[in-house]
Formats: sequence, structure tokens, C-alpha cells
Amino acid sequence: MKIAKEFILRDIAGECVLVPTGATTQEFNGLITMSDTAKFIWENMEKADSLDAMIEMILEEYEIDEETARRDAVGFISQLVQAGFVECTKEDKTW
Amino acid sequence: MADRTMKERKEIDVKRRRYRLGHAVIEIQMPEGMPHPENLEKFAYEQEESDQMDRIYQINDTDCLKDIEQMLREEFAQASEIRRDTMCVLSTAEKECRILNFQGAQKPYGISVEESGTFSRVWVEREVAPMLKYETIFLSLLSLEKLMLKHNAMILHSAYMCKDEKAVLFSAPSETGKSTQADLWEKYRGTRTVNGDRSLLIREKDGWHAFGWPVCGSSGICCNEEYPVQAIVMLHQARENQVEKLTGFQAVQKLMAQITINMWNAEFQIKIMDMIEELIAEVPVYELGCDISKEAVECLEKVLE
Repeated sequence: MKIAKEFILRDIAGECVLVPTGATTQEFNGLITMSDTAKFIWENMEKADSLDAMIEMILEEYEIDEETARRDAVGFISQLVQAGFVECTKEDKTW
Repeated sequence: MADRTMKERKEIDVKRRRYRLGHAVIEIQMPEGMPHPENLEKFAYEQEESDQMDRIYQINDTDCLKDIEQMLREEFAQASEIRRDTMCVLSTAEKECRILNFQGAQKPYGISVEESGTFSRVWVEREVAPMLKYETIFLSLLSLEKLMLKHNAMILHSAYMCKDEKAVLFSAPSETGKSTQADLWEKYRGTRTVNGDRSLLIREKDGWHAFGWPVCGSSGICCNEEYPVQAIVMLHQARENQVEKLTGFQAVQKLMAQITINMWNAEFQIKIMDMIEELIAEVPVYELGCDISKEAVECLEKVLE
């Protein structure tokens, strides 16, 4: 996966938020609050080379079971893909 | 013939005016006779010729704005381009060009180029020049929010009320009733409105202060006065008057929506967010649901006392 739009990720007043910037603001305004896991996924999105690799990274970081990790990852990433914030890098679109 | 020459010469006579906004001093150079907003004169600044200006704006009217746009687009060929409803921003690491248009209009009314030093070139469509007496149009050419941020100041969309030598700022989207609340306080508690639509916020050594600003909306009330900020009150219309303190992210979100931010500029956004965090740690921010009665004043008064 690669991040396709310009965002600033930062903590502000105790919340982690994704702030659109640059050309992204032509189509999207407003702040997106992120959970801990969402922040972790965003930060590691471009480091993982498959969904399974991402899930493995989540399991190393958080004490949750694989099913929950998969559900969180698929849920959040598919939202990001749908919004056009991230793009698949693999030709078969599995990642 | 002699008359005409005199007239032509007069037309190119340049008038220099200096203003102080917050802690920044600007110089505006424009042809003698070109209108500018009356309220700006409240910020006039007398200074020695040799003193340093924070920014110098050279404003000219033209009837070939399209050609100037074309020329600048070539000059800014490598720039990133952001389109908003009423402007197009071309930026490089060193400079920025703004092409301004009225909502829905196809052709621009003004163009500004902010050079890397302290100099800005501004052109305005000759037909539009008479409208420069309106403060929002005039100031749209100056990108003042950028200069203000450089001086650690931010512009808050708010009715600025002076109460017991302190500033209370009513902030909300347009048409909510910011200046109406300030009017109610004036009527029932003898306070005074300093500005009906904007305030400039600066963190001074002893805390946050509100300064005057030369834009005041339909209220017409615009004074150049500075007071320490007691509170910021975010408003919404409600049947029952109710007040609560806003904290953390809630306060940040509400404030961000009413502060002038160049949302396409990451450096600007990051600095503003840092300043807002500092602001909410030091200044109480309330949310007031209110009508337009004396009870609205009494409701807020309980928390301000």
C-alpha cells in the first residue's frame, strides 16, 4: 500500500489526528481522529508488503487476537482505499 | 496638453502608508487616489523612514490582469498549484502567488506575489479598484494571515467585547449571532464591542492578548485596542441558554474552524495547531447555546465571574 494523499499525522490535545494538507484540501476538509491501532496501521502502511505482514506487525505491537487484528486492519484499510487516501501497490490489488 | 501631462503624472504618484497590525508593521504603496478601507486608518503607524518594514506591498491597478496572470504562470511554472473557491495559489519554496476571484467568477479581480524577502507585488483589475474601499476585498490582496503567523499571531472570527478591561471573544460561523451577543452584553451589562467580527490573538509575556483587526463585518465596529483575553465563547443558537466548558480536542476543533488557516500549507497548519494547543491550555473556552435574551447574558455571566 502507498499513501496517495498529503496528510499530517499528529497528536493534538490528547487525540491523534490525520489532517489533510496540500492538494488533498481541494477535495477533503476536516480532521480525522485515529484510534491507537489506526495510527499504527497508518504509520506502517508503506512498510508492510502484504495484509498478512501488516496483521503480524499489529500482533507484535498489541495484545489482541489475530481475528480482531484482521478485522481492524481490513476495516480501516478498506475505508482508506475507498476514500482514495491510500492505493494498492500490488497488481492483483490484494495489497 | 500641459493639463493632461499633469494629470498623467498625478496618476502615477505613489502614496505610501504605514500600518501596525499586532506587532507587524507594513507599508502599502499605491497610486494616489486609489481607495482603501477607512478602518485601516485606525491602524496607521508613524515611523521613521529608515525603520525596517515587516512587509511592503506595492499595489497597482491594471486592465491587463489576464496578461499578468499568464506571465506569472510562466514564472511559477515549477510551482505547486492549489485551487480554492475564490483563489488559486501557486507556491514554490521561496515565493507564493495568489490569483483571486469572486465566488463563481471566471476571471480574477486581483493577483498578489509574495517574494521571499519583505516585498509583495499586487495587481488589481481597474474595474474593481473602486471596491478597494471594502476591507475584505482590500485585505484579500495582502495574505495577512501569513504575515501574522510569522509574528505568532492568529486571526479569530469573533465579536470582540471589552469587559472590565479584559477581552471576551464570541466566536461562531457567520450569521450565528456573535455581534448580537456582544450587543446584549452592552445593553444589559454596559460592556463595549471592540470589533464585531474579528480579533487578533497573540501570546504576550503575561498571557494571551486580543488586538484589534481592520475587518469588522456588518457591525461596522472596529477599534484598535488591546486587552488580555479572559475567555473565548463558542456560540450556537439554542432555545434554552446553556453553557459548558470545552476541553481538549473539542475546543481545538471548534477553534480551528474559526481561525484563518491556510489549510493547504502544512507548515502553517502545524504552527497554528501548536499555538491553539497553547491557547486552550491558558484561556478557558466555553460553548454557549443561546437565544437573544437577557438570560443568555446571565447564563454566560455565571462562568465568567
